[in-house]
Amino acid sequence: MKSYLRLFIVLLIVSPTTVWANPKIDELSNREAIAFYPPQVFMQTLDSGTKVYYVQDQSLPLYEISAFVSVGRIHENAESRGLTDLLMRLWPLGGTINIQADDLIEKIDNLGAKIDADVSQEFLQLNLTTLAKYKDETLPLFFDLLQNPHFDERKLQILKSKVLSGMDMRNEKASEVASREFSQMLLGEKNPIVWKSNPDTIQSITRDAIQNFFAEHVAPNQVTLVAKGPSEFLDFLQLCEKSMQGWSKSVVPSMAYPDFTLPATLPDKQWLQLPSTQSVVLMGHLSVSRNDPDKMKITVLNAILGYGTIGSRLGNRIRNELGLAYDVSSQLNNYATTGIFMISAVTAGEQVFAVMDEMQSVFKTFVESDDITEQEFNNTKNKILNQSVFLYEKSFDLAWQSFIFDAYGYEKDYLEKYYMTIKNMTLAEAKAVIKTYFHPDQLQILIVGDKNKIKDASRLKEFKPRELDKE
Amino acid sequence: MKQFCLWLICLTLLSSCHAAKDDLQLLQNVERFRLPNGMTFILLPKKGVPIFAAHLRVKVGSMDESIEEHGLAHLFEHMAYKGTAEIDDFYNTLKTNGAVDFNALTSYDFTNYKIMLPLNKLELWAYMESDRLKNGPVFDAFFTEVQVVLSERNKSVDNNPDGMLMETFLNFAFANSPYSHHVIGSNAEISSLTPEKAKSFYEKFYTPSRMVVALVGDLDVSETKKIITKYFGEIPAKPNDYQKITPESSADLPKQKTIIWPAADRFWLGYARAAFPNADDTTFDFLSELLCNGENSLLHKKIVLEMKLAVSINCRASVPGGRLPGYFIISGMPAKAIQNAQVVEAIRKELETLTHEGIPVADMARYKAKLEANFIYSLESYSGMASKLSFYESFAGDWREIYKFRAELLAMDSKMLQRVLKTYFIPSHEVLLMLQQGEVQ
Repeated sequence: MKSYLRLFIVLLIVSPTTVWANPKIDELSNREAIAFYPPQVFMQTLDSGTKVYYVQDQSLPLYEISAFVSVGRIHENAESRGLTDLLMRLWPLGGTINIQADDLIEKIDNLGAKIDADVSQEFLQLNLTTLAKYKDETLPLFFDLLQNPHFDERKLQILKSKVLSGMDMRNEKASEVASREFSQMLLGEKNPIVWKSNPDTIQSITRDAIQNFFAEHVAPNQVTLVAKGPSEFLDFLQLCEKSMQGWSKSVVPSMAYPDFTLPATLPDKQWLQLPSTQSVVLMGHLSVSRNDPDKMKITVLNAILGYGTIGSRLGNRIRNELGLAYDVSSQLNNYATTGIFMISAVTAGEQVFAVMDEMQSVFKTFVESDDITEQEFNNTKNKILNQSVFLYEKSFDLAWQSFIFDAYGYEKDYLEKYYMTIKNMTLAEAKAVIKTYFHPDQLQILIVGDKNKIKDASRLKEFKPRELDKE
Repeated sequence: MKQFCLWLICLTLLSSCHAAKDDLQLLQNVERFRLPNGMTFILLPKKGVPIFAAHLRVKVGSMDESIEEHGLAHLFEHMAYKGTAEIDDFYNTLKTNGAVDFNALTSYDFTNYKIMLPLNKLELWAYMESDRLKNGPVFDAFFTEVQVVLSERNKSVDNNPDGMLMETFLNFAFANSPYSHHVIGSNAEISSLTPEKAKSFYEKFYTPSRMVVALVGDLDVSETKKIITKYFGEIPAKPNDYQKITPESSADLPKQKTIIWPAADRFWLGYARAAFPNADDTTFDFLSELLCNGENSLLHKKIVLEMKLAVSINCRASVPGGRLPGYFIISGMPAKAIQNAQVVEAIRKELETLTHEGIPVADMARYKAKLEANFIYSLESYSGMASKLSFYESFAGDWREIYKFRAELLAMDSKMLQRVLKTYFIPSHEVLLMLQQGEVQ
């Protein structure tokens, strides 16, 4: 049994270097941080190959358990896009080979428990929340569903109908259209990170295809249990072993991250016409993967530029000084083999070019003018460091972090290193990071809006038209 | 930790803890006190991580605005982060000190300011929050913020079918009620707001007696009380001149309206209901769960799964708020090739059947178990707990009303449901708004 005892004490990382003009704030901001020892995360691998991450938490009489399966959206075939989404929705609704769908749902409801599922790029996930007093009834149902799901044909047809109706709505909001189309601009339309299902692929997915996908990929050695609850770890382990008895290891295909070719990172401007009084401006370029050693430092610079809107450079200029947009921010999405850096703003149609120009101007100044001050830099570092204690608010999240860090191949002391890197980062390093990773000359720009609402039509010439995918 | 756990375990007991002797132990854990200026505080120690959540709930929402002030409760909330004469940059100072879940929400009934901070920043928060309440915000950037709010409205109402439906429903369903306008205000109303109106609004409504603060965290209660008294005790008492608004009669119902909009078809079916507090409050909450929440809920099972008339059905027990009479809303989206009206007709039939036949005891038990468990789940987060405590204290006048809800839930039976259905879910209480897909002329 491994134990991830994080001797990570908040006292170690807080560096109160901010000096405040208001002496009262200066005094109260620099009160000594309170040390504490976060709860232990236990981990053990069962004989069947299932890994279990667990935190004991007696503050509430409830269990939260998630079973993660190492296969996700990016592992779908191009012809069956949407399969994992349908599988995920159908999983908790279809019953098992031992209990009918409606009976299972009724039993779960009678016990006040919740079972649902989720899918991300790399994982399928089945979740249970239950009051501790009912665990002897609810956990067997959860494990039955994990091992023996029955994908009900009637419910599949209803789900398909819902998914198809959802597709009718996916072009209703400009911000949702923009986000989807821009990711495709940067990563390529054939990229499994961003591709999407369409009515044809959804219609063609059969119950057998879902069942086969499940059978092919879900085995105990592909499953990780992440949980928190009031019982001792060993008691919880026994419960898991008993519930999964007879489910044995099997050979499943190793799900590597798919290879894909990224499009060229040439500057580009595209306009997607959408009748609306609202416009969305997105600009950005490719960035680093989640395992890049400089990711932590880039995070600090992104926070200065625009993460969180208010207090950032973009927010100060475009929202607070000019009042041009309610939403304006920057973000980093780091995937396994690449990443996206993106600036976004939502504004009224007639202001769209003013906002776009300001976004570019703020970004260019940020990269080229070398004007970050010690105070701005230290304030941002302290914000991130002071917030670190909130990673420990929920014990389930602690167990989940340990799992995901292992799954991503991070080192055991990833979190400690993350914060120490930020604490020790110098202004000179920050300036070097800007020059290396932020590129005003490589920006790709997408505007989703209504050209009939703009003030200066001559500027439309700068943009290539982009067709709205109406599938 | 143990005390908090005991408190919650007691909450899970379906018998009324409030009336039991064990209550004394609970009351020892939750510390409630009122400062001489009228401001109420509720402290709940939760041992473990050195953090705390604070929810400041001010009893002022868009329903309190005069016609000239429409949109002001929300715009004022934006201005409240701009700083005071003493503190330049309120928002960034707290952010740099580690604030998370740092935001505010203006509703039709309340304005709720929330924040979470590391525990060693407790006194900093008390100093800054009390300064903001004592001195009020600066209004230097007022007209810039007007532009920001116009942009927010453009996004959340003018270009959002659900936001637009909400505004249309309120305008249509209410004639004279202060609930008849959207919380954000119309473009013209937002543009007409001024710093003078905002100052007057602050003087009128930001009085200590309209404020409740709930703090949940690793608190030393005695030390926290000293800090609170030191800082918030300095805020002078103000008269609370709020005049209770006369509830609107719903005599001109039923009403029905269809609007054309470039979005998928959907509808809102509303039934006029009484304001909080009311003997039927818990029954409305129960009905919301029974009709719409989950795969086996009555309307979902019948309309979505069996009849396949709709792709979704949702319920909200009290729209847009609860301080005044509002509506129980059933909303939904028809399936392909199905009209809104067909779904609505099927819903009416189901309600009628439920009114006449009631539901079996076993089903009642199931929905009680779900509501009971959902309540426990909602207590897990520090912020969720602070929100609940401040809500009940502000809304019902005593946080212990949480128990009343639970006791009423336990006592619920089919006859009570049928009585509420017979009283409220009838044609003379009905408002129907339908969105039909099409281009706006």
